[in-house]
Amino acid sequence: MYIAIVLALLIPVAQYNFNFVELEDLSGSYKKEKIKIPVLSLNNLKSGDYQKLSSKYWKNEHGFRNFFIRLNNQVNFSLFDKANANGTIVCKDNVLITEGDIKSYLGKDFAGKARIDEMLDKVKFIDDTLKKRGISFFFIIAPSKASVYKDKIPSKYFEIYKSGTTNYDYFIAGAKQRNLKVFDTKKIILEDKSFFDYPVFPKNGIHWSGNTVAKISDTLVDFLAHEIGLEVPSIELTKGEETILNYRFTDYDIGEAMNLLWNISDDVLHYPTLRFSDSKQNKPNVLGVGDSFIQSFYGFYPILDSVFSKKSNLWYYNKTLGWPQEIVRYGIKTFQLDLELELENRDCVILEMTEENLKMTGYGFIEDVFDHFKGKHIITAGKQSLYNKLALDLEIDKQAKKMASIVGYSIPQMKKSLIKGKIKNEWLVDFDYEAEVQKVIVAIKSTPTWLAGVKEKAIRRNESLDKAIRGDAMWVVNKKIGE
Amino acid sequence: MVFSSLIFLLLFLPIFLIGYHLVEKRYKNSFALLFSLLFYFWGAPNFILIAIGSIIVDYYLVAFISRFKARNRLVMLWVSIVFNLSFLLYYKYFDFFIENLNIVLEGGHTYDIAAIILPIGISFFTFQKISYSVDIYRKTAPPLKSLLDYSLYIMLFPQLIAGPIVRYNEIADQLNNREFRNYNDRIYGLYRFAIGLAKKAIIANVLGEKADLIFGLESVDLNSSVAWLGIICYTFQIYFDFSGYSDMAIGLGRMMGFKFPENFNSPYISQSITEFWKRWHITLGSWMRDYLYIPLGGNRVSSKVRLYSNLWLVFLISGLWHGASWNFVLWGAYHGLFLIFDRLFLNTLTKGIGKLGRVMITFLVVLFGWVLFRTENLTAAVDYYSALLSFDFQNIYLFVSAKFYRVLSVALIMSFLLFSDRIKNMYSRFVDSGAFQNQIIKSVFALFLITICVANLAGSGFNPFIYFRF
Repeated sequence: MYIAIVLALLIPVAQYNFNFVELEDLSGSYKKEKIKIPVLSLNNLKSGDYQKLSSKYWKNEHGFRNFFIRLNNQVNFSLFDKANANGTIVCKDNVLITEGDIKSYLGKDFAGKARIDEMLDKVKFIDDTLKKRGISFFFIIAPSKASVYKDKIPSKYFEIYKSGTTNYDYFIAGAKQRNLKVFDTKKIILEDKSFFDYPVFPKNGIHWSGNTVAKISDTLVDFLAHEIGLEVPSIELTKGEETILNYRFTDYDIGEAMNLLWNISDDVLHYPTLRFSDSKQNKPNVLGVGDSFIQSFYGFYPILDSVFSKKSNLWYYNKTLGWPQEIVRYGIKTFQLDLELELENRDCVILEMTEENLKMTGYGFIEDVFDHFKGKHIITAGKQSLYNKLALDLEIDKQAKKMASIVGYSIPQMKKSLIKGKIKNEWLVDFDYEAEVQKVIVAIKSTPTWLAGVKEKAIRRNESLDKAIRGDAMWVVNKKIGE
Repeated sequence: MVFSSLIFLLLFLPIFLIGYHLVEKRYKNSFALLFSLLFYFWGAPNFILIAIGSIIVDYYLVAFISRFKARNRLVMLWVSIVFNLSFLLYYKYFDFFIENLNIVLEGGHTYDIAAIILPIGISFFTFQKISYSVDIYRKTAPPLKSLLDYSLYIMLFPQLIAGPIVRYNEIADQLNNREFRNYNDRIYGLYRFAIGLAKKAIIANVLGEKADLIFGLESVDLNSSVAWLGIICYTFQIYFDFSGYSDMAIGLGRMMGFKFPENFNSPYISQSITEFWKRWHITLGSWMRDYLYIPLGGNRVSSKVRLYSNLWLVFLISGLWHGASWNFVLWGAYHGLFLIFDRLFLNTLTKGIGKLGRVMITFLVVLFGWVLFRTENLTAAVDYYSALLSFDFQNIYLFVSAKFYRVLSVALIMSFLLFSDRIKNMYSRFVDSGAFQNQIIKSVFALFLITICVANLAGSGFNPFIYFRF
């Protein structure tokens, strides 16, 4: 027995060398870092670098790493009700909800009346301007899982985070006051019991379920036709598939990110079959800006393809082109596009935000369009020389030729747009990542409310305040550069 | 390299054990020494030559002690002690001395801090070297005949970094005459190693994360509830961390055929501070007793004042041994004071409150002492004490989780389990039994714990070791 156990300790070494068992890859933050085998040299040994790097390398590369990590996560989940997935809380009945969702639901992340009012005022101006051009505008508000499953939230979070006004309440009231159109899926779902025939959100998913998306799409099409006045195909829902095994798209996304040994879901999920009427009619050209919830409209079913024209676009967090699928692979950033050209031929502009992302007040899209309509030019007199310099840049020429046909611009239009993008993001030309991070760190430390939020996060994550501040600063910079 | 690292568990350890069991008996010491040097080199590459050099010099110095007579023996003993302490004083206390000198000379000439890096394990092996010199001087054990054996005694990797401090006379016989093929010992060693690893990886690390977080807060963010939570976490972290490491060392030794002395014996069930020091870091306590307290006169001094002074001095030095900081000195003084109180009145005073009451009072005294041990400086300690005693209780939801409570519960049970004599006897019978069925249970349990711990270490980044820095 003793010998067997000692020999068993060598199995990971054998696996490292011979890889005799195929193991399923890990997902999310557990993906392997790329670490090179450390170089053995006298200097490295003397400085201790070889030892440090070898320990790091071995931690990353040892045999059965994936199994051990899954085992650890499984133990944490099964014995300690702990989800080893960033910011996820194991709530009552093992329903997984992100902490951000809970905070939003309880108003802990309230962005403030002034910020929301400012956003809505700008949107009112945008809406009026678009209307004059014959373009409709409306919001889609998606619910957070916490507000649909509030009864699953452990009571302690009500004590920690209950803060009064929520972004959602203030936003909805403000939008109504300004006569802005809102497709409020939270209200629709909570008021219509039929949504609860199957889970609105899967137990182990962060996004709404395929069934919810199907039903919401049906209602959305009605809304587009009757409230917005667009000619869109109607949707018919039929029986479809009921399953506990074949979850689709994001219906097990947190479960997957948790990297467990076995599937933990016992949800019975339902995927109705969707039939779209008269797909030949002239479909509306739509620009959608939103977060991952809007991806559900093409991830579960080809709703975007079936309801909107091929010229339509989806801007993911107002950073990258997220749909149609054919152009996603080019990794086009939205700042490379010309806002005027992007808006001029649209029938409708949709801004989608989940409750949790309301605090992001439109991902910068509202500011961009508002500034554009107010005539705030990127190429000012001071920037003209830079514009002229960039106009001679052969790389931009090359890029313009390549991208023009993809986004449907003429080459001169594309070139101008790329130059504008470069000027707008001039800071990216000589971008110093670390310097940007340091700037944000200073900002966090000098903003008491921000600092308090980071402190709380540090405590929750069991990490030092400095580490949490840096993490937040990096997140902000990454968002800024569209990573 | 710490025992609770994947490179140790999945590379060093199995390769060493297989090699050690396969080599012939006469080469086992050489093999163990080779791996011990590699182990030390891995963690302190710049100090290995100094360590080897000091071992060689000391070996020959002590050889003179055994050859000389009377007065010369004492001279050589002092040469050896001063030689060994000089390393410790330089590496561990030089900067501390300069810092304090600069405070005294404030306004005048100040000296630069040398920023000396503390070689790992120096406090432990210095004490072992002194133990060898004194034991040879006292003739409690014969001198070793080979430099290799002496090197092995000092450098033996299981106890090199963090003890137990193995006094020479405890291990002299085993260096060349130990049992290699005792299957019960191997299984027990493996079981003990796994228990220690689990104490460290599953309990100490979880509580340590919380303790680090709370002790890292600014004083304005501390309230009574958080401060109490932090010190409770640290109280159990340090016990499970250090005793876990000792368990691993004892287990590794046992697999190699060595029987190292015990270092912990459920210290938190002590009924007085005097008893606590018979249960906590036992090998340090007995070293201090045999090589410092007794030479100072021990219990046989002429006056009570002298007795208490000696006791206090031993504890001040014991505190300072833990680290070059006034916090450690105060921590030693604090414990020394309670030891004196025990003799003066505390033992009599607490006689009537029952065993449980005495345990609780002792536990609280120890817990308060850990504040000095954990905080970085005296200001931080004062702030922490203020928070503990401010009676500003707020909810601690942000700091706790189901995992935390469950791990803390296990820590509490394991710390106080042996309070019951019945359970203590049952556990002793299980541990000592060599029955086949018993061996199977120990082996399976060890394999289970090692697997869980490897998984834990693979999936987490927090794995410090408190006594590494001593």
